Formats: sequence, C-alpha cells, structure tokens
Amino acid sequence: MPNAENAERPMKTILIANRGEIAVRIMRACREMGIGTVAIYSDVDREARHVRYADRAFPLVGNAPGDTYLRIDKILEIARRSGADAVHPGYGFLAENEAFAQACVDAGLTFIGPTPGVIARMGSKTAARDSAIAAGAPVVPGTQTPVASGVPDADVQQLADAVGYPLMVKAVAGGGGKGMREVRTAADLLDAVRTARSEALGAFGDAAVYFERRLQRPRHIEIQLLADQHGTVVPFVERECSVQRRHQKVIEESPAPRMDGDLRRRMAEAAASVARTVGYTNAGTIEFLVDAEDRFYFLEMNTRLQVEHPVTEMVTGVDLVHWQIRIARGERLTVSPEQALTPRGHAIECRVYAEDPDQRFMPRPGRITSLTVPGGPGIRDDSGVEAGFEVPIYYDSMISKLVAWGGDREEARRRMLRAIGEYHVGGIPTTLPFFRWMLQQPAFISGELDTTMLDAELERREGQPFLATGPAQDETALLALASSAFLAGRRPTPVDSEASAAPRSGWAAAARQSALRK
Amino acid sequence: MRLHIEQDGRVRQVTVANGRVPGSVDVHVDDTVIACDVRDLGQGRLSLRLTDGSMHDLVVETASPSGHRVVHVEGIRVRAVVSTRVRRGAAAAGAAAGPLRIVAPMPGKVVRVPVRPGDQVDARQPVVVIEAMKMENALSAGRAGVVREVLVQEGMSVEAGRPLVVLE
Repeated sequence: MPNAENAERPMKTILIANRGEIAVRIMRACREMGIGTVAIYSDVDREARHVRYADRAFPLVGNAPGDTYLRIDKILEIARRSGADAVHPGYGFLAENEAFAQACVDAGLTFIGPTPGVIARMGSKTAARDSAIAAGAPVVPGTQTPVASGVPDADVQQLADAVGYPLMVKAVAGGGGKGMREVRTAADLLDAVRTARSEALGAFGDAAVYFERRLQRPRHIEIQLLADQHGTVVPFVERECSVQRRHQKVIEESPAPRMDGDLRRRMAEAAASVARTVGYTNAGTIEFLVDAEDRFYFLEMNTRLQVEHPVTEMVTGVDLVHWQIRIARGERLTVSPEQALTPRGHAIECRVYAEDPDQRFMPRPGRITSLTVPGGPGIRDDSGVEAGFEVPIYYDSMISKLVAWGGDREEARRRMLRAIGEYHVGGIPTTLPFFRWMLQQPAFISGELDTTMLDAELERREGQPFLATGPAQDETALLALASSAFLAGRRPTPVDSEASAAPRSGWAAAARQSALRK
Repeated sequence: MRLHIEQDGRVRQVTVANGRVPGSVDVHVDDTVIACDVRDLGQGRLSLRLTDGSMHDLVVETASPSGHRVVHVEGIRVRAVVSTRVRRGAAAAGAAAGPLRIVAPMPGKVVRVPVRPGDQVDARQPVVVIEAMKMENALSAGRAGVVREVLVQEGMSVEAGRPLVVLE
C-alpha cells in the first residue's frame, strides 16, 4: 500500500521547457498519454514545429538563450499562468540545473527528472566521481577537487603534472563537449586551460575545470537507466557513442559492436550501483570509457534524458519518455530487467545538423526551402523542423535525429544508408553527406570504433569533400540545370520562388529574361 | 535556348528545345542530343527520366544573393552557374588567381584573428575564429596565400557575408 509520500500525483498538463526536436518528442509522449502540453518559445521560434505542435504556447520574448530558454523566472511564470502541473526540461538548457529543479518544486510543480540535490551532486564532475568511487565503480585517474579560476598557473601546472600526460581538461559544470580540451604535453597545458575556462564560463557560467588522464583510443559506452521513487533501478543495454568529432557524439548505436554479455552485465551493475548510491530517480545515463583490454571507467552521469535515447527505445521496445512521466507521477517501474538488458536487433542514430561538413562542419543556419523525410520499415526520424522553417542562429544547429533499426548491425547500417538516400533538405547544407561517407568506412563497418578515430581520419582527409560527384552525376546535374532553366523560361512561375524574392545577380536575371523571350 | 553552364571551373554550352513527346525536352550537348522526360514538381524539384528508363530525383535551387545554382544529385550538392552568355574569364579563372575575400558564412562574433597583414598562410590555417551557435569556428582560406588586409577585430559582431580577411 503506497504511503502518503509516495501517493501518485495527478498530471494533467506538462510544460516542456525546451525547443526543437526534443520538445516535439516529449509532446508526442504527452499526447499518447492524454496529457496536455504547454510550449515556450523565443521570438524566432514562433513558427517552430514544437510551438505549433503544442496545445498551448507562450512567448518568452527575446532570442538569446540567456533571455529565453534559460530564464527560470519567465518559465515559472508561464507555468503558473498556463496551469501546468509538471515541467519536463528535455536535454540541454536547464535540464541539469538544480536551481531550476528546485524552483519548480518550490512552485508546487512536478519536475520530471531527479531531485535537485542529486542533480547538484552529479552535476559537479568531481563530486560525481567521488560518488562513483563510493559505489565501487572504477574511475579514470584525475584531480580530486575542482581547479577554480583563481588557482595560480604554477599550481595548475603541478596538479596536471601529477595526473600525467596526455590528459583532458574538462569543465566541472560541463557537458556536450564544451569546455573540454586535450593536452598532449605540459607545454600546451595553460593555453588549453584558458580556452576551456572561457568556453565553460560562456556555456555554463562556471570557469572551474578538472584534469583527467587521457586513455589511449578508448571507446565511449554508456548505460541508460530508469529508477523509480520506490527504490527500483533498472539498467538498460549499453549504447556505443565512440564516433565523436571534437568530443561531440555524431553517431550512436545499441548494442555496442564487439560487446560480450559478461562485460554488459558488469557495466550495467556498476551503473545501477552508482544510481542507488546517490538515490537517483527518473531517467539518467552513466557514461564509461572502455579501454582496449575491456576495462571500463566511470566518466560522468547525465541526470536527464539523452539525445541518443531513441536507439535504446528501438532495441528494447521501452518508451523512456513515457516512463519518465510515469515515474514522476509516483508509479512503480515495471520494466523487466531482462527485457531492458536484452537487445532485440540493432539500432543506429545519426545526428543531422545544419552544418557544412565540407567546411569543417561550420554551422549554416538558414531557411529550409524543401524537405523530404525518409520512412519505411525500421526508420524513425525525430525532427524539430519542417519546410519553410528558418533554422535560427541562436541555438544548437541539430535539426533531426535519424534512427535506423535492423535485425542485426549490418541490416541497420544498410537501412540507414537507404534512408539517407531518401532524405532531402533544401536550402541549407546538412551533415547527411558526411554520414553517408562515415557509414561506409571500413572501420565503421567492422565496428572497430574508438573516440579518436573520426578526428584522426578528418585530419588525414585535410578537408577534401565527403562526397564528390563522378562523371555520371555531373552529367545528370547538367541535364537538370538545362531543363530547369528551360522550364523556368516556359512557365510564368519561377522554379525558385525563394530566390526570386531575393536580390539576384544581373547575371542570373539576364539568363531568365533572355529565356523568357524565347 | 542556348545556355552556358559552369561547373567546377568548366563551362559547357548546351542548347535546350522542346522534345517530340509533349513534356519532354531535348538537351544538345557535345554534339549529342539527350532526350529528357522532365517533370517540374514545384519548389525546384524535378523528376528526370532518360530514354534508357533511368530515373533521377533532383532539386535545383538558386543561392541568394550570389545567384549560383545548387543541384542536389544523389545527396550531393553541386554548385553551378547558368547563363545565356559566355561569362567573362570564367573558364580561364584558375582556382588560385586574384585576391580572395574570406567572408563570414554566418552571423557571429569574432573571437580571434590569428593572422596579420603580410602573413603567409596555408590552405588549412585558420585566419579568423568566429563564435556562433555557442561554438568557436575557425575559418581558413582553402588555399595558400599572403594576407593583404584584415577587416575585422576581436569582439566585433559580424553579419553573414561580411568580408573578414583579404588574401592574395
């Protein structure tokens, strides 16, 4: 019989304190569960998919994250005004901000995530490390306490020398690869610390960093878990996220290639043990590094839903967002531990960014003029955009997550390539050509992944394009250009309605006028 | 219709006329005629069917403000210039000829300018670092050269298309 403290809380309306694809993904779960949704939006997001998808939406006014999606006061005011009884933070923005979680609780709202105390503890990378040690999980050798911004250079150097090189400089408040630098020799240390501090201060408002020994060619493998408010912790089959560019994940999959059942169980048990030690509740992920000898080390815990959660959903059939909401309502977790740890088939996720992979992955925000999204068996596209939407310059440039499921890894890989072939984004470059290249690399096909392989390969390529046309494609392009110019001249409506409104070069205008005369 | 189509520094002359079958066009190029059954699906989307039955889904966009065409062919973006006249010097212009202006590809803030006028830079060397979307992005020239002018300073906010550095 549930006691008063654990009584189930009614939840009628959830405010989603986020934007883009993750806000849409959470609202989909709400709709499936018969729960109302409230969106928040910045000025440039008024036409965004997450805003139009919501039952109700309220403006934050402004655009910069600091004026909008990071404004606890504005978000709580909207929660009050809209009558929302719960808040889902998504990932990024305020998802791992204990002050926000606390403010929600103080305002009588259910925060869909762990308690503020646990967010604070696991949010400090050094305190998280201590928790892992207390739980008996192995950790990478590193500094015991944060290196605050006031520490003199000589002491910084001494602390780093004690850890040994190569080492990683990481923001204490970090995440998502920001505020992170690799240092190969002592001479490069102070420069790296300065850059990491400035990035960390800008991104998280905290310049404290810490040092960690850099493992040689490790794999990044993480354990998703769910924990209810009644002491049940269920770890899931691992995700491999070793394909990284500058410490940012670009491809994730589940299960990890070359994983044996024994290692899986040991990692799952270590993760569950850390979660129990800190009294974790709701969805979270424990990240590990795994070395060439299959030794694993606790890296950090993400106290929120992860970007890559769909691959876990695809191979276990468990809807993690549904469970986040049910756990927050006080329900008991009834996912079977066996189901959670036994993958059915294989899933791969590609993060589609509005970036030009042939220009060093430069962000290229702009208007999406046309969009065709792949479908068919085993394909899931979690997208935050539609044709006509202008990807804003203010936020992360991820526009979608493309996920492919297959009976085994090779089937999932081929299915992903098939889906990428169907995917068309007009108006802005995306990272899709890069994924098509990456998925055909021998190291990816064989599953011999590590976190350094992609950066090393990019270095070797020295910026040559990921996909180049051959004579056949050049010929097809020529025919397309010729017939499109001809058709444009024959019809009164220009083919490129977007461009006709914009100032055009005299060159193209001359071409059009001349074509019209014919 | 006579067209000059420039792609990768190579200019080709083509003539396009209505084909015998309604809805088809004949493209004359390099002394051959290619019959194209082409359908305009709107928004620049084309369905192209050739006489051997081969099917091609394509999108032709016009990049503003440059007026360049971008053709999406098999997931690859191909840049081209289409005109009805011969473009002056287009074919002759080698990749390395003339001064090169490096412009901001997106709005952002200049965080560093690691070069000064007179510096020799290689193709991959960063010449300006811009912060946008919370990430620092290093811009390089894409070819070797000597820095002639630096047009921005650290801390400046720049709009997309703004010239940053001139190389020669």
